[in-house]
Amino acid sequence: MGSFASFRRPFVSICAHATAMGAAALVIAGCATAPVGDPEAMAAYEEANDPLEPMNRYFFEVNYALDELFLKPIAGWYYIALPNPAQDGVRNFLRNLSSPVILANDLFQGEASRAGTTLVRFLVNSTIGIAGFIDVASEMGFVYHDEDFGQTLAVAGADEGPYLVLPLLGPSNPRDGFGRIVDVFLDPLTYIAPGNESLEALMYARAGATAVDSRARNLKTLDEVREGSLDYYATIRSLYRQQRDDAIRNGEGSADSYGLTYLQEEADAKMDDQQVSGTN
Amino acid sequence: MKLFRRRAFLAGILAAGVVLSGRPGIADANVSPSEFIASLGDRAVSALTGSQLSREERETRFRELLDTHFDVPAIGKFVLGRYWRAATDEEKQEFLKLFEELLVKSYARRFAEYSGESFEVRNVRAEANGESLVQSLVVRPNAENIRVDWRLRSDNSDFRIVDVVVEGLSMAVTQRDEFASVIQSKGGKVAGLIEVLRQKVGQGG
Repeated sequence: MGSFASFRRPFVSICAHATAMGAAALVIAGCATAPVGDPEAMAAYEEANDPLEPMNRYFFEVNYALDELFLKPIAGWYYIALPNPAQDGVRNFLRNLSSPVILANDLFQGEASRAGTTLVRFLVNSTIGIAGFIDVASEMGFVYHDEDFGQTLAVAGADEGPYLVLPLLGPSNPRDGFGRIVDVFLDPLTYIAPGNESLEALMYARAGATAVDSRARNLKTLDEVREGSLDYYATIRSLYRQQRDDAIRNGEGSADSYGLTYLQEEADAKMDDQQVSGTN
Repeated sequence: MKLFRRRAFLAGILAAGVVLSGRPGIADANVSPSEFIASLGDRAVSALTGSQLSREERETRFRELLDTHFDVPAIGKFVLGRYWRAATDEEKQEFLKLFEELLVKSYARRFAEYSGESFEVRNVRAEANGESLVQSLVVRPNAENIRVDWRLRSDNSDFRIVDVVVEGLSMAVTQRDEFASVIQSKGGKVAGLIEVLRQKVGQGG
């Protein structure tokens, strides 16, 4: 999963950068020390690819508290109060609004057929689908897919960099964080909304609704993940990376590398197994 | 691509499915990976769902299925990763026991919430070292479908599940990353993880 070879450079630059930006005390405290000299611990450290772990854990806790206080209760009421078809309508509307960004990234990735799907969806759903509330295009076989600039960068070969937990926004990394900013500039609303009160309101409403909608769809799942985990932070870190990898591969199965890793582990395990049963 | 439509048994995004094979040796040499997974759903539904089932009974049945159709020792070794070899034999054995208990406690109760989703095997892919990946789809009437992939290894004429991948999220990989983090926070000692697992499994009971 990802390449961990080049993590040190972004790590150093992030620390330096954030320090320069004035968050000095926090970041210096936030940078974990690499366990130099202990190969086992070093391997684990590089695999986690989370040099800012102390700071990340801090923001993870802050985000968790804010979620419990605000987002989760609101999402809970939203989930209970709004009938399912209405919730789907909201989601369809939000997805339709993000079509231009998806289309741009489809094109950046050279995915002509996926770009076509996004374009047809946007045209059909914006009109027949009544401003996007009804996903007519899906019925016609043009099924929704997500795409963002973080994924485009990954397809172009950019490394994810070290794990980051952003205040309010949650799990990320330099690649995806930068991608989010670019996506804002890929969105036509960014250019046409200023000065137009109703469009500006729409942008704020979209931001809020996106947060509430996605949280409402994960109410139970996240509770279960938290209950079942020994280290919730590490579980979410792992899930975030896997989810991004899956999105980057557009849901296609991973390459054989995973199977091969498995093979190696298994071979090792078998050897150990024989040793274990030999000693028993 | 042939579609096998089956009743389903997965309610949650991380739900793991299993089977009650009351008859050992049911898997004969002619069963294909897709048939194995498809029939597994039926049997899991009949064994694990139903609200009149007590928690203990559900857990007992789940444990039985886990033992029969999952290669828990192989999964346990995989999730312990590089720490497996550093562990003592006693630690390995206790870890495997606690790990299985963790799976039982985490997943058995999810079958209480089964709400009649249907289950399709879409594709079977041969993987390295004789494993197969059975790609399936959990079809939910009023919600989006969920992709669930099953990594199987053949064990003589039988199949054993070694990983369940839900929407690209591998249970084995997630568990492995989490355990690595716990072990690191306990000074790189497997004993530290075992201690945390003991508390978790005990408290969940």
